[in-house]
Amino acid sequence: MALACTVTAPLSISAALYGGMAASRLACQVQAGFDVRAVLLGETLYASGLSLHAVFYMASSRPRLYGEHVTLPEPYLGDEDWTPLEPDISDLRGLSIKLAGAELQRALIHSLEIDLTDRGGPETAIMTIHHDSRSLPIEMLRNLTCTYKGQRLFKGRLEGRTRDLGGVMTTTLTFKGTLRKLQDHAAFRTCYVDSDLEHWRMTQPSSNANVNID
Amino acid sequence: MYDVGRDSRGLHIFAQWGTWYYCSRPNSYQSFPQIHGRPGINARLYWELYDGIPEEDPHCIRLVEMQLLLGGWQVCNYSKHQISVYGRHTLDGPNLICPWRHLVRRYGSPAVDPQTWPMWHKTPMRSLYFPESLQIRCVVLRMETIETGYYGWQEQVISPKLLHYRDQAGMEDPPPAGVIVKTARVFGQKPKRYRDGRAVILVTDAIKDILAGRGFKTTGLNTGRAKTLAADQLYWNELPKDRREALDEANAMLGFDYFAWSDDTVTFQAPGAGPLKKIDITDPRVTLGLSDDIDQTYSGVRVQYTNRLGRVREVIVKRRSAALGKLLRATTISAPDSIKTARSARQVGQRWLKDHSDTTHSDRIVLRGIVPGFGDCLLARPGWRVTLVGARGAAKKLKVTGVRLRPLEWEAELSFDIEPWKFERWLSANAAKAYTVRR
Repeated sequence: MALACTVTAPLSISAALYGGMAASRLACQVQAGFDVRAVLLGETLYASGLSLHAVFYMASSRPRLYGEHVTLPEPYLGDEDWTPLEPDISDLRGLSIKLAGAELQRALIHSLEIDLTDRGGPETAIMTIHHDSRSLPIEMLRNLTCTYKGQRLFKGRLEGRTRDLGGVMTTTLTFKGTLRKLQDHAAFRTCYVDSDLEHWRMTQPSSNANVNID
Repeated sequence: MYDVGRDSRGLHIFAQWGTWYYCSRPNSYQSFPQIHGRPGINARLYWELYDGIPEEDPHCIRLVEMQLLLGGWQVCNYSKHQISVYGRHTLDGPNLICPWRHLVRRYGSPAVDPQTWPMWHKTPMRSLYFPESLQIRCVVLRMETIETGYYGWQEQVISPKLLHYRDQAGMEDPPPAGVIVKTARVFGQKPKRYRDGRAVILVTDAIKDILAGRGFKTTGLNTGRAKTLAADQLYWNELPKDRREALDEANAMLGFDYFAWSDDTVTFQAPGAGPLKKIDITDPRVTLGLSDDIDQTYSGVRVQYTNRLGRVREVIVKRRSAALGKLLRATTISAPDSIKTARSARQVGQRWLKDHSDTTHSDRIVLRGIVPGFGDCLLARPGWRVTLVGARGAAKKLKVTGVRLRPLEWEAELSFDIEPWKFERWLSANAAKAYTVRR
């Protein structure tokens, strides 16, 4: 059984300097595996065939970017790429997608993106469905309602339809939110209050025209 | 004969006067030496709703508030002129109502030097109501000749031989006689009256009216500053305009977020009033990209403004920025037209720098599934505030400005585009001449 003991110089220095006081500032990523040496604060841990590798990142001072904002500590990723945790779609319950009031089978939907903004809320929804659009009358597409767990995610009307008849027959539908109604009439004019003296008109007949104006 | 123009005093309308003035006699006991010449002809100013273009929506003028300067250094004691305010359907139509008529006369004793006497009399603010039933769409302020008036000791006699008119004085000098419109506010909607008696149009009422035109109700508008914010300039007269654009312009004075989650109600939310959530960035369901830059961060600004004489002037304002440290970044901005003095221009610069002293963010965070501390990602809403846990120093409350939901992937992408907005809000309020009323 081979034994090895490795102590890296910066680590030992940091440990000596900061000790327990800096322990709260440590960001630690631990990865376990076979045939990996374990180095922990100058001590080497051994197990037959199983060892532990620990890398400590120690902050020597509070890093700052332009004063207020801080670069985040990078997690140790090892030699492998970082793989985010994917949710199990089968747990997604309570999602209802309706086209013109009729529930749409989720298998027909290729993609769905809903944009929400802080100026209006539901703004746009773009949905791509696996379907030959020629067989879908426009009445069946005129509005989209998407609810989730009793809350409405989107409700809007159809604004555009794009057909893709390539390798896969799809139809891309673009819906706009309910505030789109505010733009239906493009000639909104109204006067609430006007205090601009420039809006007072001054047209007068010429002084030579000896007419009395009304 | 008459002239109508505008200078720093306001709109003014001049009347033609005779060649002899009672106040300019060297000895007041002397008899009146000469009758006046022809008094002149009428002059007018008018304000027409939508420039006289018919509108399919039945709008009308409800109220005009005016403050005038009457008189002049050539005005005699017994005036030959009067001002009248008329309400009409069209400019050339008949007078339907005359809510105010007033003589133009000299204010002050004729025995004193007219150059040292306050010759101009400021009238109190007059509120001229127009009944809604008359559907008044044009207001005419007319200076009228009183041809049969009594002047001094003699009846006025109009003689064609005495047709003598004086050319109008230059605009730089005080007008010799007439009326100057100092303030005029035309209300196209019914205003509210407040404790000080002032008629006001609240910004929130305008927003409610814009939305009610398409069947929407509002909630959340009666909070904070929005309750008492009134404006003196809310007039959309140009084409094409739509209600969404008008809503954004009016809401820019408040800076509120608004959401139409239901079919008939728009919910307004004050900035910074959204619920606070936490996101642990070390959670594997969270992917983030944070970026902040100093593209819009400055520690100095040169403010250009136009003074009362119409000359362009500049002031330089500096303000220490913690984000920049000793680095000096400066730019040039133009102050709004209402800024006329160096002091107010410096205040504009300070206000601008205060809003541009921090870094700007353009952050993206992608959430998947149910994130501990945050909840279901599909229920994320813009307007929420988020604290990042696990990022030292980045615990600042960031406002979610946009959310992109991908329901089929059970994924939500939150956007935090934090840019300076308070100065823009002030600019919008300044353009609308907004102010806070006392309740």
